[in-house]
Amino acid sequence: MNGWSTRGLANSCASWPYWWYRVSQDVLSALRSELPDCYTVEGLLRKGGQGTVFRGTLDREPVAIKVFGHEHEPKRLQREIHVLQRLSCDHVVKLRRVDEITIGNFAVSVLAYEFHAGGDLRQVLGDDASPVSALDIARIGRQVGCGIQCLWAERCVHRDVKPDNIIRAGDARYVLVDVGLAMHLDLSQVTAPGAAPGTRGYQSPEQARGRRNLTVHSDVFSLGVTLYELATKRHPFNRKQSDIGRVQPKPLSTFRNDIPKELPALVGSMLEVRPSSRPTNLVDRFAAIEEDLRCSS
Amino acid sequence: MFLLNLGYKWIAHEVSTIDGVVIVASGNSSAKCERASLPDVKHILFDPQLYLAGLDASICKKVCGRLTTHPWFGVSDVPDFDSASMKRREWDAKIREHASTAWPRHAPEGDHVRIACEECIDFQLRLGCTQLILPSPLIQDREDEASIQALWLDQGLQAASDLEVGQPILATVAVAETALNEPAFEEGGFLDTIVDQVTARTSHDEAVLDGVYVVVAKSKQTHPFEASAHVYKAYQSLCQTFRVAGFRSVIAAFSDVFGLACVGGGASGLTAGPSQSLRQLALDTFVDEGFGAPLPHYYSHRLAGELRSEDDLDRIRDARLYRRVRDDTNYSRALSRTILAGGSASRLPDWAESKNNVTVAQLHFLARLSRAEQALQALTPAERADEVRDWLENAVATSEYVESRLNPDKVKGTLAPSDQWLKLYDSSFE
Repeated sequence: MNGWSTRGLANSCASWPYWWYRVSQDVLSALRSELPDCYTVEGLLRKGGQGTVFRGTLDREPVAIKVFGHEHEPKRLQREIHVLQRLSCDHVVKLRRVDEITIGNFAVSVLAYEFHAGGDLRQVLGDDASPVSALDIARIGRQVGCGIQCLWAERCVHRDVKPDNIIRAGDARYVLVDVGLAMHLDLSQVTAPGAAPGTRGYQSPEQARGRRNLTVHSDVFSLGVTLYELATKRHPFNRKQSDIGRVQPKPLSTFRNDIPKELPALVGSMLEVRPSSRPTNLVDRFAAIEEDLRCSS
Repeated sequence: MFLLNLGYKWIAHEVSTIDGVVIVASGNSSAKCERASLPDVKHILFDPQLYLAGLDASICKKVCGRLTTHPWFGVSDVPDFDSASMKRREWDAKIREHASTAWPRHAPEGDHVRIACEECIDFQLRLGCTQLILPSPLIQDREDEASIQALWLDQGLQAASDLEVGQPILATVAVAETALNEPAFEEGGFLDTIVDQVTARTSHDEAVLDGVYVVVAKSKQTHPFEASAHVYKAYQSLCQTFRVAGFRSVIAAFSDVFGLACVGGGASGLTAGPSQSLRQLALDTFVDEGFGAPLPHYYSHRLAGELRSEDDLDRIRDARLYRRVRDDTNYSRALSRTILAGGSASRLPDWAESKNNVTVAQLHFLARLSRAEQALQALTPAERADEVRDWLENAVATSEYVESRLNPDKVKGTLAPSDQWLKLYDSSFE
């Protein structure tokens, strides 16, 4: 099983853009024929607002191949490429290659990312899944926090941190994927004023209000929602974006009495309404909790 | 920390209680800064005032002329000052003329931002500043300007890191009053945006942000006690939030007497000056036409107000109220003695109510305000908060009593809206 939430190709086609209909007879074979020989294309992984992703290989290494249609905002794509090419972080997905090809008379951009087969964190939120341990929560907090901080060092905000966008790599690493929504300060005009891209339920209050000049504090909030959800299997705001910023979530410790008190306190501070009240040194803070947990076990 | 704003006239040596100054760019050309002897004080800061980059040079010739001499405003071909071949006045005229055509009326952009930051930091290092203020444009718009300010802060920190500065670094947060009238300000989101931007950028490599230099720019010059509620609220809220966010230095610049309430709420210092134009930052202060000749006023800290030296004090003396408002410094003792003996300021050349006879009244004001600020700094944060509340409560009671006794006439000077300040102050702790 791959690490992405796979959906049926036929079902997805109903919402695909026009140019996809033109080539829908054999999208995969079109990709296979147009991409350079160093690629193999194996099958659809998922279709999202930021592009369609296939599984394949590049130089025999597994990759996720993301295909952007001609209707895709070119500035946004350039930003994703620019950010990922500059980044060197173990916890943000790595971009391996960029190509431009033509399918059905339309120019499309193809980006190949490293592929991790461990699955996304949405899978551990299922009813059958066992609870995430305190150590794993701290580890995810530290590692994804590191990814967020690395992006912010480039003055970039991911804007869509959620369980679906955190992938388990084979080497016990957690990797932040789907940087397509990431907002770089220099390109803050890409999003129209008032628009609030991202996933409802995970957006910080300021992001939901459509603020354009977000900071690292916004991603910290989204990670806080994610960690809370992982720890309790409950969404802190019952998936109501309208409650975010208005309703105080129940303390994480209400649902888990097997975790050290520092963890609920830290996650709680990540969910503060006022951005400047949220912590930014997540790596150090979660590392300290991780260390304590290891020592006590 | 009480910091005296130094404009064109440097008077720091005349007030012994002052231990820090801020040299403001609008009052001092680069040539003057580099040639003048610095005051012998503990803290020397230089405010680059990039937030004045939007001034209109056609009506603010004098100030824009001075500002063009500072390289971070990005004006090219500025005439050099050569003391061997020209007098300062001749040079002043030349730079004014140059500003009329070359003043860009906006802050540098693109790659010039980094250069401007380097120039500005280098200038402050050469001047011998004890703390460095990073330049930043005025925030006039809720979204875009805060982003521009963030870019300047990033570039400023990077420049400070490259220059390996050892002095504490302060970020300028300059907000226009016009931006405060937006509905978002009422909701609280606007100031949160600004604080969010700054607190997300506390360091770059070796350069660490030590604090914030807060300026709220009024649109129109009124008495410093007559600012809009939004201006006071912005000062109070920004200072408190930045302090809570962990900054060691938070300076309420141009906050004048209200700055004491900011100190009670967490600011580490305030700045004020002798004249109206240096006590507050009002954008129309820089228009070339003057604002008339001032009269001397007696600052009563107990009253949180300024009283006309003859008109008000004579009536207060007659109503036997002087002991209620008396607030002496070295500069006002002779005045107090005279009034308590039944006399009038008219007998004292330093206090006689005549136009422009304001020097001693200004020194008295600065000495009293700096003494009040220093007294607060000697207290613990909790004691400081209580002390400010006590002062405001007493000022409300005193001003009400004095006004009621002078009824039907009112004080001709200006009393601070101490009841409004008190409400704002209390609400900031909720």
